[in-house]
Amino acid sequence: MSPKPPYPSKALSNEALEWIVRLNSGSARKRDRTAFAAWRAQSPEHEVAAAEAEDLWHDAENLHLDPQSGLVRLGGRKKPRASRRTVLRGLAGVGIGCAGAYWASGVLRPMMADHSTGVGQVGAFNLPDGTRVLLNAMSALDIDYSPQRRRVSLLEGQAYFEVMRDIARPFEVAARGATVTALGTAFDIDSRLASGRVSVFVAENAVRVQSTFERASDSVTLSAGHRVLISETGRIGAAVAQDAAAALAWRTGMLVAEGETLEDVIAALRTYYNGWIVIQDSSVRMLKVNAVLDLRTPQESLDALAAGLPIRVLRLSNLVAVISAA
Amino acid sequence: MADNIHKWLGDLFRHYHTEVVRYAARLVGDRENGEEIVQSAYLRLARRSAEGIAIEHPKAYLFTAARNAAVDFTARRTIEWTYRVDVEDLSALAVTADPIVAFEHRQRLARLAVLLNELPTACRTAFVMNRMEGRTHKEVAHALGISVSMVEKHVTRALMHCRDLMREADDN
Repeated sequence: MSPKPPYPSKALSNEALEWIVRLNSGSARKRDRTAFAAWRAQSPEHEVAAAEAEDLWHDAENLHLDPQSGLVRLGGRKKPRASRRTVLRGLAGVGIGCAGAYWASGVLRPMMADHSTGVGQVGAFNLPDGTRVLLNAMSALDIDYSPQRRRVSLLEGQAYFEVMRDIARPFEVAARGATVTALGTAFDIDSRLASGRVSVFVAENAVRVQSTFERASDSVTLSAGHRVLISETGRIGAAVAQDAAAALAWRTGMLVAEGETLEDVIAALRTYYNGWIVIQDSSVRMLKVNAVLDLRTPQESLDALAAGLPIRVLRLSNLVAVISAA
Repeated sequence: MADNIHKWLGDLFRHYHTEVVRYAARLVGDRENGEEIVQSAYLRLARRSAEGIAIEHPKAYLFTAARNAAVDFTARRTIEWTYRVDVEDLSALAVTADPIVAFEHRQRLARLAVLLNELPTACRTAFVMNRMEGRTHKEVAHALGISVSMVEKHVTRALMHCRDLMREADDN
């Protein structure tokens, strides 16, 4: 690019802009234009300021206001036929179709579930009572409602619930070794952690967490902003305070790991990875990870992990990545 | 080092994610794309930091990175656009012979759109009605129920804002 002359001072440029505004106000006369011509002829600097102001004004001609969003977009006034979004939707559909087929080949159970998602796919839907569910990738949910209770089973994966209040019909989620009863509105259950553990995080109000294998009296009440882990055999751990933005980041496609083990982080990434991620050395499984990862680009996220941890990621093919100690 | 990046990226994420997504969504028009833009803003930050460039004001830098990502996003959206619209809809930018000139022009327009979206609604609306819909200050004042001098202030302010940030972008 050729070197540009330095910008005129802001004061001078402001004057030029004020001229442009006046000339385009709809009440400018011929003598105003003559006066502007005289103003810009005063010095080369005036001329540069005037040209800069005119450019700015002319460029805005190639913009239009999108009536739907009320925002400025590129292009003249006419509207395009198809938005980029429609096209992307179409493409995304193809991608998920492939992923879904691949996934279905290995796992049959969630195929029969009432709601399920494929690799890298997040699903949002309402249950019959108006409870809102966000289902993370590779997850499956079964619905079993009766007049007495609202029972759902998280067969696989992770889900976030915003429960519709109905004291007469308790809302319960069963996931591996845990049964969670809503005492308020919003909570998250993650059942894809390593070694069959389940994590419960409460975003609003409270839930009662019960072990599937123990007596009903063995339960804890978990309040908002807290997380608890339940082991595969139904042992309920201690409640730990956790930031909601971090715990629920998956809803926006992010994974915020704060002192999580590598195997749990990989378990979360797997559901977005079109293929297999294998941890070869058990010595690296328990490495602590502090990272913000983008779930939607699992390859890059793997590289980011490799950059920050003493591990090596070996890609055997497009489908298989092996993690070992560096 | 890399751990450090994750630490302060994590802090940024926790404290400002919602705010910066809202900001980005406002720049390009919808929340879904706002998320996409903020993702690439994080990437820019991480890359910059990985290159050893110290970032002194992470929050300010995050918002600037989001704005730059919004500009790229808007420009990219236009490329796809030009394939889709009728020939008569094509503005001069699509028929410029030199691809580099066309690219720079598009980038400049995208930046202008993003900068206008950043303005307070009243200010943007006044500018849009005057500049893009060709209404006089008097008509705009009448439509918005404000004084003619207020319209003048809004339009001038919009231009000054765009001028300032266009200059800043040229300097980078």
